[in-house]
Amino acid sequence: MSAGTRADTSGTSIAVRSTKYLSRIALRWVVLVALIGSWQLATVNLSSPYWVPPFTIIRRVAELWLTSGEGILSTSMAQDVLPSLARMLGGFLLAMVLAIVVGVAIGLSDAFGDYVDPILQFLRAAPPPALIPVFLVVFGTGDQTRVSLIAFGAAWPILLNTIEGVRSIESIKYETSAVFRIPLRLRLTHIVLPGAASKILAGIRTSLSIGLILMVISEMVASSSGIGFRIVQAQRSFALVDMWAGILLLAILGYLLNQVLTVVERRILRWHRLAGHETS
Amino acid sequence: MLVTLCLLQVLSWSGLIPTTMLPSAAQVLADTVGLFGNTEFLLDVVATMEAWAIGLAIATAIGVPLGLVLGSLRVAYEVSSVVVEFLRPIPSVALIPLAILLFGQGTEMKASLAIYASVWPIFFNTLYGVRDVNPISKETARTFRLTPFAILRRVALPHAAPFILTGVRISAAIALIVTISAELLAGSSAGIGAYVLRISSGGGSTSMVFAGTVVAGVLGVLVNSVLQAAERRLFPWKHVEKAA
Amino acid sequence: MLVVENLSHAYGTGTHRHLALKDISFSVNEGELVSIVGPSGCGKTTLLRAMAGLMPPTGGQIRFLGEPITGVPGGLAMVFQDYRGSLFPWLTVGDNVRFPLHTAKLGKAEVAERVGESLAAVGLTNFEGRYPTQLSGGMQQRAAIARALAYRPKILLMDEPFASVDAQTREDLEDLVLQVRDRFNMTILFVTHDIDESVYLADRVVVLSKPPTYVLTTLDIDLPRPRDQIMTKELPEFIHLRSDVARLIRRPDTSELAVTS
Ligand SMILES: Nc1ncnc2c1ncn2[C@@H]1O[C@H](COP(=O)(O)OP(=O)(O)OP(=O)(O)O)[C@@H](O)[C@H]1O
Ligand SMILES: [Mg+2]
Repeated sequence: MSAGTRADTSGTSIAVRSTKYLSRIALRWVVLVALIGSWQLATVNLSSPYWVPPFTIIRRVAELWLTSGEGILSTSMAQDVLPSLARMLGGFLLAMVLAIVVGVAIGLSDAFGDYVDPILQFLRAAPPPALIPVFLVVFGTGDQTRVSLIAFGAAWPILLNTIEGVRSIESIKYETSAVFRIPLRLRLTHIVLPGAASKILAGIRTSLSIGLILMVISEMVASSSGIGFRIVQAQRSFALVDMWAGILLLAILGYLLNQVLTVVERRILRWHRLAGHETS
Repeated sequence: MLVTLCLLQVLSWSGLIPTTMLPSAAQVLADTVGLFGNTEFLLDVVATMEAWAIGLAIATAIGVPLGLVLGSLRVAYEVSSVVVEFLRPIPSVALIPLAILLFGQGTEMKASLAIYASVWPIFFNTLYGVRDVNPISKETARTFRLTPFAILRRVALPHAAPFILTGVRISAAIALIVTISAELLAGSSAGIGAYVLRISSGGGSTSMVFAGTVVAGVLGVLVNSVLQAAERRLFPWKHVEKAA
Repeated sequence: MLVVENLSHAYGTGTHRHLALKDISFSVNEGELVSIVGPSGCGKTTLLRAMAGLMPPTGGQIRFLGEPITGVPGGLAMVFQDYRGSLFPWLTVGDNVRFPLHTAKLGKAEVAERVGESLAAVGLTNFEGRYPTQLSGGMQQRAAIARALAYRPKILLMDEPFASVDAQTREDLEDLVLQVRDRFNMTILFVTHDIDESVYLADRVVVLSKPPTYVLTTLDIDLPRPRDQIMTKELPEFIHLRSDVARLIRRPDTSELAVTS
């Protein structure tokens, strides 16, 4: 062990560390405020119709999605945000379950894996938005189209990563479990899935952003509700504040989904480390 | 691959699935071949590839230096991380309407969206690559009196290079999706998205849409394998047999 | 040539302040091979990093060729314990050795000559085109030494360079250090926690205490040269000296852990 690799902070006191932490938080807030402030100033001075000042956008977001309407939910929350979320999660979960199940099966059988690999590579590369017309013909104009499009697009990264993850498990582990005659179900839950977990999670991360893209584009091209639909409507009717509000809302949504994934990932990988599997 | 195609063909002969939904494999194949003789379609492909390539190139030119600097300067990263966390979650396609307003329906609009979409994977992969440099490597360079800039160029950059190429590969796939999405939505005059739009609004067969997608998919696979081959050529030390 | 005066260094501040080096003074004269020996964790790496100008110490002064050290001085090279981190995996062995020569304004021919000579000195002539990962641990450390030699430093600092190679290779590498020292007329400061190694190599041994660290003593080693792994180590003087060092490191204290290796 050489000292050069150690971080210089390892010996610092808790007090010093927490002041460092606080000043970091403070710095971030200062930057954020400065950023929004100068954005506000710039847009006000530019007075171009396309660039809407941030405070106006924020006010509009609050109006649209927090206050207006009856009951607990604002109308647009009920009409746009929830349908969008439902489509996204539906398609994404479908993709995840299918891709992991199929991926494990393919990953475990060598011959079959080699055989399907080129097909999978090709399917992943085919851009799903181009298939929107086909999905419309096959599934009609309902939510089925959007959910299946999201599922279709999000499945490939998870599938390919699952296959790769399962294959990267050393054969000694399979051999050991075979020697001890461990039943298949236990082998799956104790060797295969934990061994492939970090790869699968990486695939899920890519899929999440692809799923989000597909949710938005499918709503933009073929839907009468959802955030994507709202944004396009706003642009076509030159309601630019609404358009920006939609973009901001999508940013918030994307951020939250990413945070959720990060928490889940940490959970899984921690348990994974505790269980003594190496992560990479 | 061949077996699958035959299976699909048998499936469509059997009449289980109506050909309006899933066209027969032979039909798609025939249409795909036919497309290569279709000048209009070839121009569409060129238009899409152009926006895609420009977007990817500019995204690399922005993402790599940014990743190098922010990856090696803690303070710069702290300051800018707010901006990054603020911008990154915006799904690129959400910006299509804005881009249409600002840039119209042509290459500029598509390329600007492709830049936005592809800059993130390239930037983050560069950043992780730079952070991954062994501190001893940097100290070694310091004992040979390299300047901080020289360390960035001669130690951080080569170490991060494989990470960067991975980022470019991920970005290439996303940029293609975004470019075609933009064409679909903007009603661009040329591009694979424009082709799909023309076919489907003109009542064309689904097999023609499939054929267009097949070509796009083939292009994606091609670019990916070119980048993979480049990886093997450029980073031979990643592929040598390790001594025990 | 290199003078260390009342050097001290503390990591951290406040209640977590850890005084790694208390008071270190010694010097290295031109042409000498001085080894520094001390128990694990006594601050040898800290001391060496301060001398290389990689890190400012919290107290005292170091002078190299009369000048106080502020940044990394010219004419100084370091061989790190961690050769995996120190050799650049994306460069071949030859290019690794060439790496520090870019900054010196040398002609192509001269660069090639230095690289060839250095690789020959460590016996890696035929491995110039290989990547570091294709070599064994001992060979990698030899490549790192070749790189330092090609740089032609006035002083070479070595931080436990052989701590992670097997015993047989280690003896070979020790002899390699002695050879290149004669050949290139180098001044070497060699840090180790291995008592035998420190005595076998050195003209002088600086013995460090447990932390907070100070210099217990400096011993002159007047064993005959050239040294030999078997003959030198069976000399009564050698055995006497190594026992002296061992006793020094153990005696001032109660813990059994003081001497390792
Ligand atoms: N960056 C750092 N931050 C805080 N403490 C450190 C740091 N580097 C080293 N230390 C502490 O300083 C002391 C001396 O460390 P150093 O690595 O210099 O010892 P060493 O003699 O080289 O040990 P070894 O024989 O294990 O290489 C140790 O107690 C170590 O924990
Ligand atoms: Mg050390």
